[in-house]
Amino acid sequence: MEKIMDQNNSKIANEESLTFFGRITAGVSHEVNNVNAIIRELAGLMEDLLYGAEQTGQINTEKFKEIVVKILEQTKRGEKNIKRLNRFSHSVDDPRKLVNLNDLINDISDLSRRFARLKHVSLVSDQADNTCEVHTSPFLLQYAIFTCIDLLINSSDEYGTIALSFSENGDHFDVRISGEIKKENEQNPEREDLVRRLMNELNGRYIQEKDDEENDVLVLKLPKENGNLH
Amino acid sequence: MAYQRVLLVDDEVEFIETLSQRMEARGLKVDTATNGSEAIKLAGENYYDAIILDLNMPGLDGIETLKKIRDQSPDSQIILLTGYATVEKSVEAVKHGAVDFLEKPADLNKLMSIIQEASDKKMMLFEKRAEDDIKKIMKSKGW
Repeated sequence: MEKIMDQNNSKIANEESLTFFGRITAGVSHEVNNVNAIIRELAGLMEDLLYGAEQTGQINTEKFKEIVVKILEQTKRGEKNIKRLNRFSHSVDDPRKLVNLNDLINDISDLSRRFARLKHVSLVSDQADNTCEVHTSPFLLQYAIFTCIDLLINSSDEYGTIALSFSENGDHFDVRISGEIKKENEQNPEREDLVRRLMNELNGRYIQEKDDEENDVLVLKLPKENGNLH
Repeated sequence: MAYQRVLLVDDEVEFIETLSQRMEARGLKVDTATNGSEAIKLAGENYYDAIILDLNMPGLDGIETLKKIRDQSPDSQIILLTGYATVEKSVEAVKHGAVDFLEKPADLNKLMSIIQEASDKKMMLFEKRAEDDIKKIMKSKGW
């Protein structure tokens, strides 16, 4: 029987959800601030060049063009970050809605990339050719995926790789987050318990397995329910 | 005229490239590093009037890098630059010997003035150390 997620009966404490929300928004705000800092320095560099041009009567148009291209690149980077943050913020609007798994995985992967980068870990996501849609809580599903990514970031060695993918598996979609859990960092009972509780909220399951290359794979089994595969 | 030499450390390549161009246009000699380990290596090999460190970097963060640089060169004048400064982080940075803590993006004139102060302080420490060494030598010779 389909379980309706009732926020009052949720096993996920508001404090835990807020911590996740806070980490993501803080990460994006750092990225956006870096973009602003770069644009500010590029504008300052233009100002310096203009001052020099006023003194010499000569203007280096090539240098100006180069700076304009860089400003445009940074503006696009900033726009992407803001759009992602906006989609993430709206993921709490509906406790349950039709979610495009491709887009959701892409977004949470991008939102998590900064955390991986700070530990010198690469984060890659494989996109499915087909569009998979599922009725679920976008916020809780992103929270579960992020917790798995975070678990692997903190358990793997520097310069490791974490891969995200998903596939159709009978009456489930499997979201797979693979990496390497080092023996000395293997114990993550609190995070794993959190993933289990999150998947329970989503009527799904969490399992851990090894792939053919002996990588640790954290699998989130999400019921299709009313999901559609196009 | 002797130029001031600074080390600028941040994982945002575009940021350090642009800021270093602007600093060089103001007469500074600027070396850059994109992570803490590289910064520690450069700080061990060269004399810098000031080192400007980003707080959030991959691998060793700004505070860890600050501690290691200060361990190998206690007179290093380190300025921390961060996206969002908190009182706790500022206190921690100062406790570990940072001379200043600036929010990014920082005003270049303010940064230049802090670099000048850091450079003056480093020169003062250098002179004081030289004076102490001379006094020690004179004392050991009984002069």
